[in-house]
Formats: sequence, C-alpha cells, structure tokens
Amino acid sequence: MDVETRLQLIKNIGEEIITEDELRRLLETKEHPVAYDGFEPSGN
Amino acid sequence: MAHLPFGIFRPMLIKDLLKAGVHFKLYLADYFAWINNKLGGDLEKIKKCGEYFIEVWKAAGLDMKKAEFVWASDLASSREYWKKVMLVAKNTTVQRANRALTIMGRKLGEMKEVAQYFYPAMQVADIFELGADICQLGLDQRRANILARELGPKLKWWKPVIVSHHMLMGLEGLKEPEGFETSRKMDIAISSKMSKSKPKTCIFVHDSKEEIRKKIFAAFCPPKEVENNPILDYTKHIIFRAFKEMKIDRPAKYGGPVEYTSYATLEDDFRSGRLHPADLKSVVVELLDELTKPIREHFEKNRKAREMLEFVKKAEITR
Repeated sequence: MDVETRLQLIKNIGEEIITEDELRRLLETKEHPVAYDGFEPSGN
Repeated sequence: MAHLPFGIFRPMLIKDLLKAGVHFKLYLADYFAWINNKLGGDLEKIKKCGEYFIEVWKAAGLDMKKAEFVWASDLASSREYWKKVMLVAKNTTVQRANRALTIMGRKLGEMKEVAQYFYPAMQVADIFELGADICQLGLDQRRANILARELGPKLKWWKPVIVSHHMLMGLEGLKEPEGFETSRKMDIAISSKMSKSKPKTCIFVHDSKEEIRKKIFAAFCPPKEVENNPILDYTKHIIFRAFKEMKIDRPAKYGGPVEYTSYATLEDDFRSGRLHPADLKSVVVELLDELTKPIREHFEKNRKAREMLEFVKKAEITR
C-alpha cells in the first residue's frame, strides 16, 4: 500500500492530527509505525 | 460495561489503522484506573475488568494476532519506565499537571490524593516506554499527548504524532460544559460525550434490540437539526463506517423507500426535512443491533465470557 493510501486511511479516523506533515513523514520512513490507545478498566 | 465508543467504534478504527500498516498497542491502564479510584480502587477487580475488555474486543472481531495488548502494571515493572516517569515529572510544573487533569476525566477541585499527580507523568512516560510513534487516543486525551510532544525532543526521545479520534456524543445531545477544559468548544465536547460513568448517555454492547430501540427513540434528534445531533453523529461515525449504504424503508405516504450511499446526502435530506427523525431512527436501531449482536451473543453463549460480564456488572460503581 502506498504512502498516500495509508495517509488517507489514518486521516479518515483523525478528527485532529498534530501534525499532518509529520504523519506523512512518519509513514514515508516507517512501514509499521507504532500507535497506541489506553483504557482504564472500569465497570460503569 | 462496554458502550458503543469502546466496543464498536474503537475496534472499527483499529481495523483501518492495521490496514494502513500500523502496529497497534492496546494499553490496559490498570494502574491508572487504580489511581483514579475506579472500581473502588480495587486493583484485583480492575485487572479482572481489563480481561473483560479484551473479551469484548475479541467478540468485536478485532484481529487478536495483530493487535498487541500491554498492561500498565507490566510496563511499570521496569526500572527504565520509572526513570522516564521521573524525567517527565521533573520537567512538568504543578500548574501544567493541573491543566492535564482532563485526561483523567477529573476537574481541579476533585484532586485529593498525591497519586493523582503521578497520572499525567505516567501517561507521558507510557508513550515513550511503549515506543509509540502515534498517540491515537480520544480528543479528550490531547493534553497528555501535547505535553509528550514538548517533552519528547527536550528529553532526547522523539516527538510523537497525535491522531485524535472523534468522541461519540451521548444520547441526550449537547450538555453544559462541566469545566474539563479552558477551550469552551472542547469542554462542551468532553462534557457531552457518551460516557460509561453516565449510563443515561450510553448504548451498551450488551443492550437488547428492544433496549436499543427505546434508547434511540428517546434520544435527542430534532428535525432538520444536523449540528450536535447524536443520531446523526452515530450515523456518520459508526454506520457509514461499517456499511456502504443505508436503506430507509418507509411507506409511500412518507416519501417511499430511499437509499443513501454517503453520509453527506443523508445529512442534506435531514437538514431539508426530506428525512424525518423517526424514519432515520428506525434504521439506526436495526443497524446498531446488527453491529452489537455478535458481541451480545458471545457474552450470552460463552460461559467464561458470561462470568466476566456478571463480574463487571456486580463490581462496585465508583467514580
């Protein structure tokens, strides 16, 4: 998958991206960049 | 219990990220829930609840071979991790830490324990200990991520990119700002989100179709109003992400059946009044039921999963 397609996929989920230029550069340099999200386990 | 943002929306976004070649780490923040006094601050209960979280994602169809799970308590077992926490804490003013409290869903007046000040420092250290190039959390977590962007280069680590996803709106629509953020717009968005701690705002993945129907039909959805309308919010962010089209089957006297292949055209019709809230709601019920059904059934049929859910239901409600 080319950088542009990958960028579009990520842009499509990002309501705010800081910054898009840096994201593009990251995708150009890394095929598998690491992303994370954290979750506090709680009941309600 | 898992709600739509957690059980449906989050896994959908991860699927797209995996497609883009991203290595995704789901970080089970047990120590953070402990600090934040979730589940009565009982770490054992919190860990069990974390196991339930993993079960929900599994049932939601998340690729368990590709997604990586990391527990905060495991990360915190390394000396290097705590060195990072110290470095972050040494480079963060108390004032700045106070401003980062939104990430805990807390306001300044609620700060009672010193442990709560560990929270932002640990969250920033996590990013670098996890090796995260991208912080892909909800918009309400941006404060910690922005702090990480400032401190990363200063501490000779790196500057993570922030990709914040949308926060789904609660069923009741727009709420008064509760004072989470100095930016009014952001404050309102956080105060209005679908939040597990406010059950009235939520559709849970375990809700029956009948419960979903009741909730959706009672939800805020004034005709012709497209701004801050939770039903349109779910239509845009969940339904059109999961389905290519949306068929509205209505009697000829109300305009007859109509099919939408994009959110934009549906929104236009809603704004002009050509699409009535009741017709939209009927279809939203069907499609949300279709999306939650596999999870609901997994927890009904699988004994181990059912026990996990029973445990979480019984666990003390503390916030």
